[in-house]
Amino acid sequence: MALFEPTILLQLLIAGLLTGSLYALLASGLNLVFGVMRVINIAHAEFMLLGAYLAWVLYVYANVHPLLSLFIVVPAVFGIGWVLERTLIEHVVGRPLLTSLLATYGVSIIMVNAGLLVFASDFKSVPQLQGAIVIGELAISKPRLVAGVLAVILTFAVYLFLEITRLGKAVRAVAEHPHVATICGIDVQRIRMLTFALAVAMAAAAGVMLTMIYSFSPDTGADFIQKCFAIIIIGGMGNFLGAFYGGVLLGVVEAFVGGFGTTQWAEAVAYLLLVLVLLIRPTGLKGMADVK
Amino acid sequence: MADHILVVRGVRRVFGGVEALKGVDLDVVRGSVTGIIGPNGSGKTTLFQVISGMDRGATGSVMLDGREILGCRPYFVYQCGLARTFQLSRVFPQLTVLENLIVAARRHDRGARSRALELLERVKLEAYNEVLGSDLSYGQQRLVEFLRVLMSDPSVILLDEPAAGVNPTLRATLWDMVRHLNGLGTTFVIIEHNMDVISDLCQEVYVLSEGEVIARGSRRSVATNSCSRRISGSGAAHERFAA
Amino acid sequence: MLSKHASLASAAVLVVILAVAPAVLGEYYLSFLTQLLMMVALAQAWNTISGMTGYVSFGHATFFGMGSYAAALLLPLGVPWWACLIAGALVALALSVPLGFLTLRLRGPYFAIAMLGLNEVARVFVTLWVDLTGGGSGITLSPELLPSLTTSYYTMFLIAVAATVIVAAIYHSRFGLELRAIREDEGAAEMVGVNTTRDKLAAFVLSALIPGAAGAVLVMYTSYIDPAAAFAPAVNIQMIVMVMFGGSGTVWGPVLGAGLVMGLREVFWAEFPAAHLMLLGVLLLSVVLFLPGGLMALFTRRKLVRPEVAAGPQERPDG
Ligand SMILES: Nc1ncnc2c1ncn2[C@@H]1O[C@H](COP(=O)(O)OP(=O)(O)O)[C@@H](O)[C@H]1O
Ligand SMILES: [Mg+2]
Repeated sequence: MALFEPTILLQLLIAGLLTGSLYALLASGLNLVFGVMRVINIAHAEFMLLGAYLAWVLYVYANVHPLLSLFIVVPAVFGIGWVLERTLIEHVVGRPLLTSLLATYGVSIIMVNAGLLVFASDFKSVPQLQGAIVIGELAISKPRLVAGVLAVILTFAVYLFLEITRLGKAVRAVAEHPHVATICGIDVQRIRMLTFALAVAMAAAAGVMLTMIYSFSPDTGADFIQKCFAIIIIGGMGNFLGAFYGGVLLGVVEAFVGGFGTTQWAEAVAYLLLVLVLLIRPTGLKGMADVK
Repeated sequence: MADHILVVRGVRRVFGGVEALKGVDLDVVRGSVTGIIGPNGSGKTTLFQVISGMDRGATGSVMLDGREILGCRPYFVYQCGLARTFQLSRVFPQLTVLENLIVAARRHDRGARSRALELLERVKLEAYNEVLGSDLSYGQQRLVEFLRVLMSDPSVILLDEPAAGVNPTLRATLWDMVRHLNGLGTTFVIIEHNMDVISDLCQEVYVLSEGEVIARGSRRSVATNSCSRRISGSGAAHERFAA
Repeated sequence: MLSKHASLASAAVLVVILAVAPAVLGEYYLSFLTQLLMMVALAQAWNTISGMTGYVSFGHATFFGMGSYAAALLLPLGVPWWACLIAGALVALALSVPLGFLTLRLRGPYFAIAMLGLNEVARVFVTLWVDLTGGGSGITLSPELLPSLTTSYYTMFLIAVAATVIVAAIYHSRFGLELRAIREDEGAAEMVGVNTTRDKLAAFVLSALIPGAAGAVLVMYTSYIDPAAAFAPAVNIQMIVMVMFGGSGTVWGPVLGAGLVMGLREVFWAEFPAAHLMLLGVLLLSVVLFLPGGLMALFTRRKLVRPEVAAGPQERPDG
């Protein structure tokens, strides 16, 4: 069968890696929030869509190229995240996980339906960077290539920020030992605001790049949050790099299922993977005995 | 040969790289009070977790009245007659004190309510029947947690540092209850740091260190050995204690 | 809690009013009441698992959708409507037993995450199985097969009453006490003899039967079903918000929550469905943050009269 030709396999692999990088950018933010704040943000994918719609608006009304609008949208969503953490999310920190689940579910409902009110339910996209780069028998879509590579760069930029800078180390300190961090004079609340803002800004960046690849509507977040959960459960909850690997893995698996089966089944892959992992290891793949 | 109600053999529990229990043996005589002492992190609580079925990741054997219970679920172990309290009290916060007790009774026990009332009266907590668990002081919570396990009339009770965080009055009430119940035939295994309590209550004492039983002795050997009062360092103290 | 007499009396008054309603009301209001009763039933179902045990299900609309499809497939075969109703409940049962068996091993947040996608997967599944379900274009039922509006109304009424009675019976039983203990501290509950696996599964199965039956009635009343309507996220949202708003884990909270939310929707929000759901989100967020016990918490005279026995210094855990 033609599907098993090496070129096709390579093609699927590359497509999977590129999409997976975008997932990774999205999911590592979610995992960062969970690691630092012990809050599961069900609304995380809605921030991706916020980024996507902002980019769409900038494109349609001001003709700003998505790659340029990154510089406007990402700081804007960072600011929104900062304020939102301060006013809302801060109240659920330290409460049972189910409280934060229900609260952020509320945020998600509000954002989705606000989106439906403002933009209606039809699908949008930003047709930029069209076409493909052809290398021999391989064809790599340009927007996917740009989005995938940028996503990897951004994720690793945040990773380096966490590893190297003083502030980043403070974030990790809060994630690992919140009490000790307080004693060491770290302003824990400010760190949480920074973390949440950073995470939703990463989601928004993913959203901006999404505009060139997918068509999206205000409900699109549901699929993506599902993928995010599968990813962080596979990669280990609270584990930043784990989410990266999980994201790439999911992207590749989806690409192959989509290539050999139907796209609709590819949509269900994330869920099946999630359920499978949970059934094998009821607390996820990596240790998280402390999650109650 | 003494009549052992609880026999633990070669229990081993590994967390990642840490071997929290390295093959622990324990023989608990029916109707006795057995003490377990040892420095923090020596595996005492883990041993209780394994015996009670809360932690089912251990290997070895735990026989309760001749029946293997290692790997059984906690509710089943409880129904077999072994009950325990937790190191940090775990009353049900949004249940009333009375409900906290009744839920621990056997399923078809018609007399659960009156038994609960009677127990509360015994420790002078009867005025708190309808108070929520979360509204109790910490000491009261510990006492309620203790009464809770009495609801099913267990034959063996494991207490994990039951007096920690409890004021002296309630502490005396607690030890009186233990003595009283032991007089009626209930077997106790108690993790406790206070050597006076240990020497006063326990017929036999096990010393645990880094997941191993490093010494085992009668009440007298514990009482006469001053070193055992400073068991928190393991090495030298352990040798003198064992001598 | 309301006093026993007060709640029994108000329940009796409510039941009598609802029983005579069809004689007085026009078709529009009867249809509104049917939907209201459906929401009461769904809210009580969610309450049975999530309110009582604290296992938050984001996927209960799945059972509702399954019930709808079961009825929509059987009615054209000449199966009487009441048998379709039972079939709806049975399909939900058949799905909930293995599903609960698998997912309830997961602790709280993992269960919630696992249930979150269920609805979506069910929707994809039903859409893809075109031969059986007609796929995305759905199933239209011819009117002569369907029971009258009054019949639908009374059936929904019975389901809502049954759901409330089930919740009340559980609440006052030993089983309910065990479920509440699981909600408070599952490990400790298991350690005092509660067979948590069995209890959770029983609650889960009960909570699936009701939406299954309600879904079957709904399809007879709307005469049309498609995957988007059967597995609508809005159904999940409404269930959760109504219970949280009224008071989760209580007998009357879901009734109150469903009544108020449906009432508000009828009066203010009917014109703007998106605004309606958005306001539900605001409501959920506010309740979770500021009134975790829901409206019922306002009625509850909590016994805060703490006896003065231990007026001494508060003991603190010392390690
Ligand atoms: N759930 C767990 N995961 C990893 N390590 C654990 C866990 N529970 C206990 N330990 C480790 O096992 C050792 C024994 O702990 P514990 O039984 O609580 O000691 P003790 O009760 O004697 O103070 C400690 O080193 C502790 O860190
Ligand atoms: Mg301990």
